Amino acid sequence: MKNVIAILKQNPKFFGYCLLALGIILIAVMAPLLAPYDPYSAELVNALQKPSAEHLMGTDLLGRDYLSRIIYGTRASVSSALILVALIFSIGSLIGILAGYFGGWLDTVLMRLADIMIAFPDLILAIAIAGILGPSTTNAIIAITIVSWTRYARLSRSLVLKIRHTDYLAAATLTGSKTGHLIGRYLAPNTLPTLIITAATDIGSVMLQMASLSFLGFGAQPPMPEWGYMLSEGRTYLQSAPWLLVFPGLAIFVVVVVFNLLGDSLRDVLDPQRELNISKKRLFGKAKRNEIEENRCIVCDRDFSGGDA
Amino acid sequence: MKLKKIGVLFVIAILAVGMLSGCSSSETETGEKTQLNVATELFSDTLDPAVAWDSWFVMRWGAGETLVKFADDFSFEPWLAESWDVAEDNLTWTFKLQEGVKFSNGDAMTATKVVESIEKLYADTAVENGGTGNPQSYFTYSSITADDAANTVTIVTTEPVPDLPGCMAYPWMLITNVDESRDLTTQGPICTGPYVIESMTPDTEVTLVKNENYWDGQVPFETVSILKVEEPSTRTLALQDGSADMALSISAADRETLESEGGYEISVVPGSRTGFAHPNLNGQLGNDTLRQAVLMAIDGETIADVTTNGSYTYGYAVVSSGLDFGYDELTYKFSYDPEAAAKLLDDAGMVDSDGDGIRELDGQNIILDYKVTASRQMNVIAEAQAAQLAEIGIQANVSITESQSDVLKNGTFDLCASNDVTTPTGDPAKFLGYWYSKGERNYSSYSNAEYDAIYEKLIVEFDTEARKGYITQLQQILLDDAMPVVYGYYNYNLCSTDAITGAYCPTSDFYWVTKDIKPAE
Repeated sequence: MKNVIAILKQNPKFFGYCLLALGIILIAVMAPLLAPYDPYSAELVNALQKPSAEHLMGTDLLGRDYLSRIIYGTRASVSSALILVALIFSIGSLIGILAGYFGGWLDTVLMRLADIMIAFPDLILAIAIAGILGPSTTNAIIAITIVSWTRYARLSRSLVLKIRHTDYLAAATLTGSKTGHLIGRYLAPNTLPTLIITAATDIGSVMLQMASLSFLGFGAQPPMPEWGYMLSEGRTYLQSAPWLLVFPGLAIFVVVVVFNLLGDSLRDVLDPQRELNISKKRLFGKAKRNEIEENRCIVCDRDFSGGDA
Repeated sequence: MKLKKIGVLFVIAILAVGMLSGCSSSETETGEKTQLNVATELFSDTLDPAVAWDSWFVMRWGAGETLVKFADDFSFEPWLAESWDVAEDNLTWTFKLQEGVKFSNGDAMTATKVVESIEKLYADTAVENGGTGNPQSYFTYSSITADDAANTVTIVTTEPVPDLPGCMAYPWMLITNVDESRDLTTQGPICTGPYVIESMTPDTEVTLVKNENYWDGQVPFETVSILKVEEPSTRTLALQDGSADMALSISAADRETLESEGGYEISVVPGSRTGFAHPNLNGQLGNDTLRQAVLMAIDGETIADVTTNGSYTYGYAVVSSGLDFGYDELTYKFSYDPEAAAKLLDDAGMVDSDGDGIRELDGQNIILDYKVTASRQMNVIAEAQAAQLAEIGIQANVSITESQSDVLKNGTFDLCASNDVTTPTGDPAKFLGYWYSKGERNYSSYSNAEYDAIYEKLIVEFDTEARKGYITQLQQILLDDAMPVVYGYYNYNLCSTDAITGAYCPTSDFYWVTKDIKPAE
């Protein structure tokens, strides 16, 4: 806990974005308390009312309060994005680690499979898969998972390959560590920081993908309040009721920006290079490090002088 | 070096001018408009009149013509035939053809050609040849003969068909110059209309050119471009930026915008289309009480007036209140009354016993699978209805399908939206076959012996007044049986810019591009 507070103190930007993201998640969790009306309750006679004191964001075609639908939409959009990222993160990383660790035919099969998936334009493939499975949020999540796991698989495989033949792994093998232990204790933790950064920066783009599928009718189904679907519902009223497009668009924009910034700042915090520098500082202190540098120079000099002799 | 640069700039400027001038190809040097641009939501995949409803488009686009034409009150007008009559036997019909009609390739439209055209349609659509069987469901004939000298065609039907002139006005009866070497799917038939199909990209775009051999006066435009623009708001924008001269099905909200901007001709007519949902009586909606409660829970009037913004005119009967088929004589017991609907369900024991907000019927949650197509605002109506059904504890899951015909045939629905021309042959007799239990199109699996008996009388009755009487009775039986869920009557609309004149929306939905649409003076 102390560590976390320290990190947050050192990274005020990251702290700020964390607060914003937390705020968004809170809106999703507390939607029933925050929403002024029931997002499903349709008062047909109140259709397409302009934003007013009574309905801050106006009403939609079925006379439902738009603000309440936007607030409830946070639930659908944020939760599906988080579930999706968790899914592709865990499935992709696991496949990548296995392929990298075992190598051989398993590596070939899994990576060629990944190559095949990458060969297709991802959103179009997702549309095709969602189309075959039938339109629903769950199927949209499955479709995007199928096209997106490759990124994590390739990344974690390359990270594993980098450390697969290091001395400490050889030592661990020599001292009798079993495969499960090796993966759990050495490989996974070493790949995690990079994968987590990728996952955090992915939340925004995944949310956009989900919204795209819903916009096209392959994701959320009526009457569910989901921003992508709400945009799609409102597009007919571009000229006569622009608020139907402005508010869900704005909501998607804000949430995607917040999660992207959060991902970027998380990268700054977890950057392995930066971590190395910090740990060096902690281990040696400045004086000690200077001493080491000097000794290294002496050694070099000696070598050269030896050559002369 | 400098010269070279100037040269390059010059070439770029020439190219740019060339490209820009390419954009305005619809006008000649004198500024006269030569191309008519149409934006439409509906489009076909082929040009073959024998395929499903593709003949509609050949006719709508101004290429095909039929022997008989519908007037706006659905009476019959001469078109390629100048007159017709039926013999005493009520089976033998003689059509006298117009003199001097030519096909677009210059061939004369003789009686023999007309017979060949009809015979080809019947051969191509025959079920045994893998066809749709659609024209055969309207009428079948025992003989069809041509008399070229008298310029008449004689059709002897197998059963009395009182609305045969209406059947001959239906788009698939468009007269073609039969040429077996022609690929109808892509090239389309040779017809008699003012424009000739030049090229077509399925589901995207079609280009037509002037028919040099047109028999009925001057053809105003050199070319006609018909573009599929699926998005209603994009069609409005196309009108606003001038890339379309006329567009069909503009949303009510956008029509208001166009009206306030000025410079547009907006034609809205109550057509003969009824929007409705077939209930599947093999499912939960087979329960009469449930069906009645569903009707009473839906505020059809508000949905038509507010939700669709007047795109539909509300009515409870299956035949439009705007047509003269006895709407005013009908009585309806299931008007909007959600409290009564809830009470009806309570009394019938359909209550929510597990507290999940959904009532149960025979221990099963009442969850209706509601299939709609996204055209003509039916999806919006279905969602509004679903929201109202939810209030009385009935869940309706609305899902959008590409086409409803497979859904209807396979029975994979509880409610399936449909939007039908109720008077395809001038009166609703064919349309009312949806509920004839011995018919092939009885998708609801509805069965009522009284209905069947009256229907059987209707289809052979020649007297117009008697037909109206039967049609009224059939509608009343359906109303009493809470069948089907009627949305209302769709109002067609066609908007055009002031670059053209004469664009107008007919009640029949069959004629869009006509010889009467001309460039503005």
